[in-house]
Order: sequence, then structure tokens, then C-alpha cells
Amino acid sequence: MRVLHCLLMVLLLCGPVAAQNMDVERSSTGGAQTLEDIMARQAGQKIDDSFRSGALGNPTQAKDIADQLGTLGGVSQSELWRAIRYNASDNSASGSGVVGNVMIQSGGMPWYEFREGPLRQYGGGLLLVTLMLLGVFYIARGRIRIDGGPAGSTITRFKAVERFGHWVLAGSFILLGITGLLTLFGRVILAPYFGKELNSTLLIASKWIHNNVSWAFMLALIMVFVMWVAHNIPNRTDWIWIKQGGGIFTKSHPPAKKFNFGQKIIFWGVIVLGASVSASGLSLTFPFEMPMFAKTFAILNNIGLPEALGFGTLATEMSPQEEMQFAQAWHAIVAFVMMAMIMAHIYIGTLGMEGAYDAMGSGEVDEEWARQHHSLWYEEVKAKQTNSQPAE
Amino acid sequence: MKAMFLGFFAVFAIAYAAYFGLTEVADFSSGAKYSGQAVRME
Repeated sequence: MRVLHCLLMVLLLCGPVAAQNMDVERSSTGGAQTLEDIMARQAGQKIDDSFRSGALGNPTQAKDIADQLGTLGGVSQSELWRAIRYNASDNSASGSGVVGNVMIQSGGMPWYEFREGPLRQYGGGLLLVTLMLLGVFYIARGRIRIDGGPAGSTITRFKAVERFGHWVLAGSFILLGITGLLTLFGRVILAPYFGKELNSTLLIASKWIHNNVSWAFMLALIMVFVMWVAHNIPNRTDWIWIKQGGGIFTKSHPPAKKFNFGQKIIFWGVIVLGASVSASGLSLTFPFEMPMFAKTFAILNNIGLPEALGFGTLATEMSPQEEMQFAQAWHAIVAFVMMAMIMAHIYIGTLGMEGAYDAMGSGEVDEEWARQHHSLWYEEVKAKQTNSQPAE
Repeated sequence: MKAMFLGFFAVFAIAYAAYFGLTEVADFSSGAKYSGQAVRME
């Protein structure tokens, strides 16, 4: 009996849901959206918009010239604009080719709302949470010291060219990150408190810096990849390091070569995300000339990944404007993830670990630091030094 | 230390080189692509 009750409740609750899927009464509204359609669209629900895309009028049904109110044509203004929206009209624009031909694109508003809402909230939230977690970690763990104090003698960890490449990458990344954040948040954080003039000046400067410094970032990314890829291939030593949690909490010193597994995560993260942010950035710098998302979505559909994750098939045809919108959204998302990663990287390389900064500052690290944190690398370097000494 | 300052200097040097390269030399600033070449009278 209870089972029957439950079944009845479920069926009753299904009623209203079913009504949305069944044909809605549209005899009085035709191709126009009803309030329910608009509310559903704003709530992010998927709606069947065939009542709009199918209501495009019919020129062959125009009234005869002799009829009352004939001939006003068989296509109303609304039907004409619906045809333009759904790419079913044979109009063309007088300039700008394919780009100019798109007079209405439905993807614009959702993108705008994403940029104003979730992108700012979740992106900014990610950075604040990362900062907070680093603070908690510092309070809990403190600065990771060299056990027993530094030895006083040093060995060379990074040559000048390695440090140069790193600092070009780091310097450009800082500038790009700050100018990027200003571009996204200036309107809501700066303008209300410092005025629109200051915001405008800062953002004009930000755009110049961002667009031109990006080339330095891309060059440095290639340089860093070439210099260090060989040292960042994962191997068995990394598994030992992982099992000991890097010694971060256990205060142990797992063996490591030139780069430990944590550093390898940073390396590959920067290379892969950096390449992705560069690609979308190039697409944004040269508008409408480098569309990448339609092709990417087609490849993903072929693999079957979107369907496996429940997204259905992704759009493989999109207007130039939709491509630009995806490029901007992706660029910002990847940038936020990179900034969070790099905040942790900056922390451990400065405040978080005694002796770490010297590696990139002067290139010379304390021998005891090297023995404790990169024991295998230290052995290799010392062995090379002994071998290169002339026999006596 | 020197490598760091040289690195920061290189960031600006590359930025300026890119700016002048793309605007003065390669003429990306004129917007030639969209300045009316595709006008069709219908």
C-alpha cells in the first residue's frame, strides 16, 4: 500500500514536468516567447525552441494585391528577425564578410552573464581560498627549515641562462596576471571607489601591457620547456616522494633528483596550461582569425568524452562571435587555475622554505639544503665535481 | 641577481619590440582587413 502511495506521489509530481515537455498552448502567441519560456531560459533550463526557429513565415502565402490589407507579404517583421537569428534568412551584410553577417547570436547573453557572475565569483574565490590555505599551512607547518642549520658552503643549482629564462617567464606572468585581473575586476572593484576615469586609464594601460608582454611569456615558455623537460620526466623516485607526501608534513626527506614530483607538477602545469592560455590568448589578440573551439569540440565528440560526462554532443558549428566568447571564457578560467598554482609556487620558493629562494636568486644553494631536499641530484653534482678534478 | 634583472628587462624589451613590430612594421594597426574591402553594393 505504501509502495502504491509513493508511486502515486511520484506520478503526480511528474505531471507539471511532463507539461513542460508536451506541446504548450501557443495558438495565441505563435513564435513569440511566453513568460514561462523566458523564465526557463534564464534559469538555465534546456527548452525546445522549435516554436521559434520554425515560425519563419511563408512568402508564398502572401495575400493577393487585391485583398484587404494585401499585400503585406507572407513574412512578418518578427518572422524576419527569427529567420536572421536562426541563420535561415538569405540576407547578407555589406561589409566584414562572415563576421558581419551575424546580426543576432543567441550565445552572447549567456556568455555575458557567465563573465559578470560565475567567472568573477569562482575565479576570485579560487584565488582567495588559495591565499587562505597557504596562510593556514604557514601557521600549521611554519617555515620549512634546514635541519641542523645551513652548512655554509654552496653548490651551483641553476646556471645564469636557466635563471634568466625563469625570470622572464615569472616577470611576464606577474604582469599578465595583474593586468588580466584588472581587466576582469576593474569595473566592479576600482570604478565604484576610484572613479571611472582612473579605471579607464588603468585598463587602457593594462590592455597594452597584457597584449605586448604576452609575447615575452610565450618565448620564455618555450625556453623553459626546452631547458627543463628532460629533468621533469616522471620516474620511480617520484613514487617514493609521493608516498612520503613530499615530506611536507612528515618532516622526512624523501630522495629527489634535480626536480621533485611537486616541482614536476608545477612544470607540467605551467607548460600545458601556459600553452592553452597562449593559444586562446592569440585567438583573442587576432579577433575572428584563429577560431579553435569548433574543431576542438569536434575532436572531443569523436573521442566520446562529452557524452560520457553527460554533456551530450558539443556544438561543432559556431558563429565567429561564439568562438571569441569561448576563447575569452577559457582564457580566463585557465589563467585563474595558473594563478592559484603559481601562488603556491611563489610561497614555497620564498616564505615557505628556508634556502629555496637562493636557487633562483643567485643560483647557488646551501649544500645541506641540497642534501636534504634533492639528495640524488646533490650526489650527481658532487660526483661530477670529483671526477672533473685533476688526478694528483 | 643579474639574471633576474636581465630577465625583467627582457620582458619590457620583448614587449616593446612586439609593439613596434606589430604596429609599425607589419601594419596590424591599420585594420586593413575590415576597412571596407568587402563592400558589396546590392
